[in-house]
Amino acid sequence: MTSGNEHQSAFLARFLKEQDALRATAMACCGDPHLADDIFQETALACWRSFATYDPARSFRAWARGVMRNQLANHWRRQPDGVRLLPEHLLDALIDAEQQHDQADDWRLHRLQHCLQRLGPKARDLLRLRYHGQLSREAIAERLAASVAAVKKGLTRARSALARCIEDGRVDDQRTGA
Amino acid sequence: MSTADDTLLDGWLTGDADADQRLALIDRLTDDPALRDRLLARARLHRLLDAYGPGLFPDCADETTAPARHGRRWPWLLAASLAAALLLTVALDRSWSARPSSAAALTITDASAGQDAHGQPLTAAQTPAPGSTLSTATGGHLELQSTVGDRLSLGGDSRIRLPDDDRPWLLEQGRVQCSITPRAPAAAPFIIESVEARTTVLGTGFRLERDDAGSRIVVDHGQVSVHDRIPLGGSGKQVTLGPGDQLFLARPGTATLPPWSAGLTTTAGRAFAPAGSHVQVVGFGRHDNYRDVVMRYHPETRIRVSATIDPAAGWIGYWWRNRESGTTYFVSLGPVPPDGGRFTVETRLGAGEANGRERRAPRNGDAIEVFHVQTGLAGGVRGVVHELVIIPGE
Repeated sequence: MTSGNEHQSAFLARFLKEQDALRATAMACCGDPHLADDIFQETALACWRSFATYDPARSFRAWARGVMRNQLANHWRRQPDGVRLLPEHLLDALIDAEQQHDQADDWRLHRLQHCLQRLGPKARDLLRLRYHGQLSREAIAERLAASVAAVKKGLTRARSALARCIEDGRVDDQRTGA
Repeated sequence: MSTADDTLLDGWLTGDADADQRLALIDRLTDDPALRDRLLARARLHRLLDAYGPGLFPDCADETTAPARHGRRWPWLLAASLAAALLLTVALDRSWSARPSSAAALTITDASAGQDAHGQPLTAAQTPAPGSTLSTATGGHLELQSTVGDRLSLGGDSRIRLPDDDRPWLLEQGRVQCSITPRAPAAAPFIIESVEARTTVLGTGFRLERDDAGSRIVVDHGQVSVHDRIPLGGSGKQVTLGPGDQLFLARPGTATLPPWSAGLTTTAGRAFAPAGSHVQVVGFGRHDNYRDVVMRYHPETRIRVSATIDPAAGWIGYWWRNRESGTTYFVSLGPVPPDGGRFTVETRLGAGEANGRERRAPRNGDAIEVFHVQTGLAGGVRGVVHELVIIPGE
């Protein structure tokens, strides 16, 4: 029992740190949030099942992404045409590129909070409705008496402003050596 | 990076991209490593907004959170509030209280075994007096409709007090299903306490039940804000519920949720498990499965799970989310017994481990939800969760 608990704790300590980034990787590889959820879940399961084979001297991040790569490949082979996945060469390229993203989610989250404060009221309001109120785009459109297309466009612009602001922070940090 | 690229990436990440857009994206990603980086960064942004959205707008939390008003919880006050049928002041009440709909605006459209406070039978087309109390016998029902189209359906063995100039609706006992007609902004008196309610009024469908165990609100569509006059956590705050949310407010003491059944659905409206069947214990990553049980944080509140689960599951735990900070916590319930027998485990909410960065420590009275039970295996794990018991902290 005790060793089971330790095993579980060791796994969770590593996995919980990575799960947001893993989920984001799954989202990037799938054009379907539900499929991304499934792949993330299967990856988590596979990681847990094979955790005994994980070498603690190695990067858990790299190991977990290797596991995810296999899950993505399995999906691709099962349903190459029907499934909303990127082709295999791009899956590899994305996972390789993802390994280079060393900015921790803590940093991103902190920066995101800062950037949200700098958004214009309209953009911030849209994001608030979507992510704080958890409203669908259709519900937001109804609420604001706007078209769904306008809401989508507004959300995209707001996210782009956030993305630019986060990137500016990264560049600043690199410049100052922070 | 162009707006067109952003639109393409967002379309892909939100599942909106059609076949042509997918092909266009594949072409672009194949040739453009910078766009691959952009896609990854954008996916991280979507993920952070999805996961931490509620906590990223702290100023909005104030809009849904009334100042604490229950400094002390006198026993007589508890008894009084319970005797007063756990005064569930749904936002509906606030609006009708602010500008109470006169009883003349209400008509009984159907009645079976219904009676007024004097024991007189109620009939269709009757217009009950403001502030009067209507009740139904076992097996009876009562339908009320307002001139603006709101419909309230009172179930059997129920009792409800109508609003008057000073007091809102009050369900004293039983069950009422409410379907509230959307209001035009100009007709503002109907206000649902949510972050947006000051400018727009929503139509809302929800069910309110009250029995000996406590009170339950199930939201079908729209949003309702429940004003906490219930001594669960005693904070006097509000909770905003959305479609699929279910709020259970227990009497002081131990609250036992029913076994998972078709009555508990996910936010997407999917039935969690057929009623009476074995449940499929969910595994990793199903973060949206349990936004059912909303309650107040107290570090000494305990959760007890009694279950029989395939030993292959390895271990079992649950997740809860602090709605006000956006932080999620995992609480391990420990290993599943290898003999596959029924077991009961209990933990404190306060024993949870924050998932990632804890934006702030939970405070007494924070609105929280138990949303996810997790085992070491996902998907096909078989098991029965016999009960999930919430034991409020003092």
